[in-house]
Amino acid sequence: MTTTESLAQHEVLSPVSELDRLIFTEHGREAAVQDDEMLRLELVRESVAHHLAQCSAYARFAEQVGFDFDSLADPEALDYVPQIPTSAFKRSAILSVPAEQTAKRCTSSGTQGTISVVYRDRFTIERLLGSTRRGLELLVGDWYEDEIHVVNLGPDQAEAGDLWFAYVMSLIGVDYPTHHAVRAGTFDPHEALTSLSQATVFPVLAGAPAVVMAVAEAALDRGGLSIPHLAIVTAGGWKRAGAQRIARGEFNELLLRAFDLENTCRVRDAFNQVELNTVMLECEHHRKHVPPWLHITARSLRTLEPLPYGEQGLLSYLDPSASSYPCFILADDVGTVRRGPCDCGWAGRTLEIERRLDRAESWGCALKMDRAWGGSR
Amino acid sequence: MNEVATPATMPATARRVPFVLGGRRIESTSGADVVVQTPSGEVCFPAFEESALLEIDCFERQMLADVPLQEILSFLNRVGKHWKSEEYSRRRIYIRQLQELLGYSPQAAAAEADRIGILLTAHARMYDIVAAELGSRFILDEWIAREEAWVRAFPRGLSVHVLPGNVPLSGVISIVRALVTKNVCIAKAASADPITPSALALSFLDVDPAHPVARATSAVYWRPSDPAAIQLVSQADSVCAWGGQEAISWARRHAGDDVPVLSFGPKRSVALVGRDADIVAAARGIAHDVVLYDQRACFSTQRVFAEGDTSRLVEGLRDELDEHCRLIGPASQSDDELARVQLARLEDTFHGAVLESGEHWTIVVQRCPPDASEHPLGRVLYVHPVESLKEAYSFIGPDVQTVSVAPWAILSQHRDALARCGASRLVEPGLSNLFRIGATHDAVNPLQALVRMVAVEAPAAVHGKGMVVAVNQTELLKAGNLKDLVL
Amino acid sequence: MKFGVFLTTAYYPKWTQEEVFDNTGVYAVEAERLGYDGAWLLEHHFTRFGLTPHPVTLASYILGKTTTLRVGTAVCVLPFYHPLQMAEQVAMVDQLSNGRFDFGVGRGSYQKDFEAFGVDPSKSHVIMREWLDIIKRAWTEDAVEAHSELIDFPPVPLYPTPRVKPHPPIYVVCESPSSTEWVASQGYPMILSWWLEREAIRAQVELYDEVARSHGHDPSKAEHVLSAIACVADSQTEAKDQIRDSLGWWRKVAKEAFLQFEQLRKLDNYEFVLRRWEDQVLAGQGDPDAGERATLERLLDLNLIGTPDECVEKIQDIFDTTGVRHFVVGFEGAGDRARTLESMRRFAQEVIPRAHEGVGTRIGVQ
Repeated sequence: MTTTESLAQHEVLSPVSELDRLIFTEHGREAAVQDDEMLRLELVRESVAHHLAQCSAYARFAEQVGFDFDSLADPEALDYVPQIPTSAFKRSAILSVPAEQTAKRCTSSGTQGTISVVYRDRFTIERLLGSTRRGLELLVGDWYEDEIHVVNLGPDQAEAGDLWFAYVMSLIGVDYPTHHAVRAGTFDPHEALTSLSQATVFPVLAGAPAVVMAVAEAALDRGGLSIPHLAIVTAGGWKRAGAQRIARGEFNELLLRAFDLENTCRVRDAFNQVELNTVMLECEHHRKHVPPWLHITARSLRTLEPLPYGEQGLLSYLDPSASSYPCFILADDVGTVRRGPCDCGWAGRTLEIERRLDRAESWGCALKMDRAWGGSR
Repeated sequence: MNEVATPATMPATARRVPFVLGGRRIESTSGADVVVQTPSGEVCFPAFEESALLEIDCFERQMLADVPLQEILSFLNRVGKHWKSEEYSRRRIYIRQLQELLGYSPQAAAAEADRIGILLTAHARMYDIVAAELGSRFILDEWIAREEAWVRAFPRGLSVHVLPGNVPLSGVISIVRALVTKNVCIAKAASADPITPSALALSFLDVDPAHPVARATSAVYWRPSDPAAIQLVSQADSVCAWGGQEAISWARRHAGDDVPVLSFGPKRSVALVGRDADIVAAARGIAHDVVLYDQRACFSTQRVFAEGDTSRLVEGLRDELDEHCRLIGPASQSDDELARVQLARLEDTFHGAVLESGEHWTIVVQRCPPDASEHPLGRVLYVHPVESLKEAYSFIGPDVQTVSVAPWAILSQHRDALARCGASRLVEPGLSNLFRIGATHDAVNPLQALVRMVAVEAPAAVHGKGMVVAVNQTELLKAGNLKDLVL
Repeated sequence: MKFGVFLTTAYYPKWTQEEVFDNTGVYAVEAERLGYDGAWLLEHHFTRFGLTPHPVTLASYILGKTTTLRVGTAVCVLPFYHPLQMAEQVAMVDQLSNGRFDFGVGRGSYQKDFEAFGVDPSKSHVIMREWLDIIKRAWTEDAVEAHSELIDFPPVPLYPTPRVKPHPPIYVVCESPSSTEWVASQGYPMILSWWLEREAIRAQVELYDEVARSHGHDPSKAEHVLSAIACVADSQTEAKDQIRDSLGWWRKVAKEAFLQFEQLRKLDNYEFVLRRWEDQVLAGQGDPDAGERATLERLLDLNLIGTPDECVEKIQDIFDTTGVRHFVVGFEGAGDRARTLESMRRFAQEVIPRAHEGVGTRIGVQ
């Protein structure tokens, strides 16, 4: 038997999928320069086909809204892929895999009322992690993992449990040496500061803005803690700490003073939500770069029709990186998708989140948040 | 003759709303205005500061105590007649402001002004309400014999009302309750409805600023953190708080320990339609209850549980919602509100609901209601087919105020269970906004919290019921016959 | 601020018609001497309420007797005239007076007037609006014509045209919200009534402001006029006593001449008036006489009746509440010439200067 013949008898393994290649192997910067629309179309098509076949609820929904899969033939058609309002995840389990294949039950924090529950399998989680790494590339560049010390202002993976935000933050510890500053539900900002001050490598402080602010204020109480090369990653928004919320500029100023930062280039916000399987981080120019596999459409609030790049609208996503559930979602955020070169070198699309959609309130019957009560300034 | 302005012709400038303190209009003087965002505009109030508190401190809290109830009702009637007249400047301004600041349609705004007029001129009914809730229509003016005592209702004094923003008429009802029980009323406007309390108080001044009722009425606004407001509430003799949980908690937190706090918190309402209901009548009534206040009121029907095949009911609802939307145009919806409605529709479609929608309404037919606290409003009616209306019980709790039931005949089968579930009002569809004489409000008789019922008890010479001799406890003790005393 | 005087030509029982007119002339001259800004004339027919059926005629006389005093009508009742004749008369008197005429108009409210002149009161507001439009066009266009259900004439040029361009100032008497809204839509200033509560006037002004703005007019430029009754004495009691009887008589005569209840009930366009009557009865607890007495006393409180200090305070209160700065004040209720002139003088010398100062301070603060 010749070598060729012997080879022919072996099953040739499938190559790494395009999606996984993008997420795990491609250098983000190069891929973003291309931001290949046709590739994205192909990835989403594949994902839609998968979920139509595997998620009967999604298939029914697509039929109900009159979706024709064959019409998904060009990038413009992506705007018409049926998308599920994220609130649907509060009501039922939406799955494209058998329940026993799910690896993690992921829940939102419930600041808007009931919690969303999203079930992820291993592949889906791995891809999420991959997107996180890609995002962190924007921050840490060519550093090796052991050159970085992360202080996560949240619990570790075990303690994070199902709570999505805490879980995602804890995943940083998978790739980088991380000190988790919440233990048994207790958080001490001074302990976090101590860990930071002891870091001998590049320190990264990560957490929700309210908690980062608490640490910064603790630093100021001590007269400041000079770590000029500190990188700060915020994520998760102000949530229940809305009363403490301050403007971004003011927040950056506080961090500058507290940590004697050289500048605010290394203060970065990250965006994700439990229903979305991709994390986006800011570059040094504070723009959230959208990875090439993720399709985002801003939609008219009044009609839900797609808006062109640069116009503010209701954000909706087509994320093919999720395999255990159809990550084709209409979110509650209002923002803008822009396209064009960025001074950081990444081209492609950027995402700007402006605000949350106002809640529908029967004003005498606002069960959770009483804006009518505190509506003055 | 009657030109009703539309929002398109109105200027988009922030509007100044004065305080009215004890019959006097108070404009902003210190320059420290408070700007309040309304659903579709902005208004500017004076700041509620120490000076306002000092003025209120000087109010004679019992100033209405000796004013006969008929005099109070007579004055309210005079004011109400103005409100009912289309040739009344204040009414016209109010209608314009409801449209401009709260997004009301012209028809809804005019209807609300009408309702205010109807309430104020309902003097005969007010006597009946006093009688129903306090025991006698004369009890605020005289001592009324009741068993072995004479009882009279006295005003508590200074009554602070934190008003709702979803139903302007509710604010007027709250103020009228305070006045009818002869209290001095301080009404705090909601930011979602900053105009109604001052419009009412100013209409009192239009008629007679020196009248005791005008002098007993104040309309103000404050922020929860205003120290003067906190102090005012702590000094109040009674507090009535409407609105969300935060407003009510604030009121309870700051009211005095022994001061009654009457609260009307967040509620929702549903309808039940039995198999044998007159579908046409049920659809008409439910449609009315849906469009009124665009489902923002506690009594607004948000869901219907209907036995059996719902197709005829849905057909009827379709027609009636079209008709009622024509009669009472919807409030203008913000972009966010519209987006919410669309998201809700898509979510329901995803979960297998069948949707129908008209220009200004949506019907969602789905079997099992989700978390019943979420509702996009905007004239969206959920219809849940059930085999038996008893399936609805598990979706009714203390947060449900009104359950409308059709046909009326089956109510007796369900009323006990519904009451035990927590509903406080059972009505016929189409009447959800009308609170009948004798009915309760969120399971209480509100007037009772606004008065002190003082009793003069019969002297010893009056035999106690069950006794045949005078009540002489000392003699009974001496004789060792205390157990003959009937208590 | 501006202060004018009313020359009512009220035919009080104790006066002859000659005395009424003689007094009028004397008051006008004195008003000019005292520095009042203007004199305003009423129009009435078939009633002792006022002896002036044609205010433009009286205006000519007074303008002839004076040199600086402005004279205005409060009001010419337009439905009783042909609009072109009114336009001619006003233009002429404006020419002759070198532009000292203020043209105040209204739609009428007296029963016999409508009956005698054959005008349908249910259309009085429509007629007034259309006539005013014709008059303005007659003054400002080369030729005017009209072809409507109410009037029809071919194009005609009007002579003379007014001296003041584009036309003399126009004022419209306004009580009802419907009238207010129309007047505001046209941008005319209002003549406001002396029998309304301050807040009711305030509401009327607020409604005016909103509607004016929505029609592109600047409401701050509208110089509304508030009519008022005045009597200045050394005490409020004395002032009220001086004026009570004559004011009561005047109101009684007006009520007899006014559109009666039976008629008002059928006239949608006078609903405001009907409601006011109803309110007065309710205020009197169902006894019309008691209601009238209560109303009269309230009017004495509301108007500029009292000591100079009290009058100043009331003027400032009116300004604070309503923003109105132009007052036209009737003094004739004092009952005789001497007391009327005395009141006019005291008002001019002891009230007006201090009112100017007080309001000027407020304007500075604002």
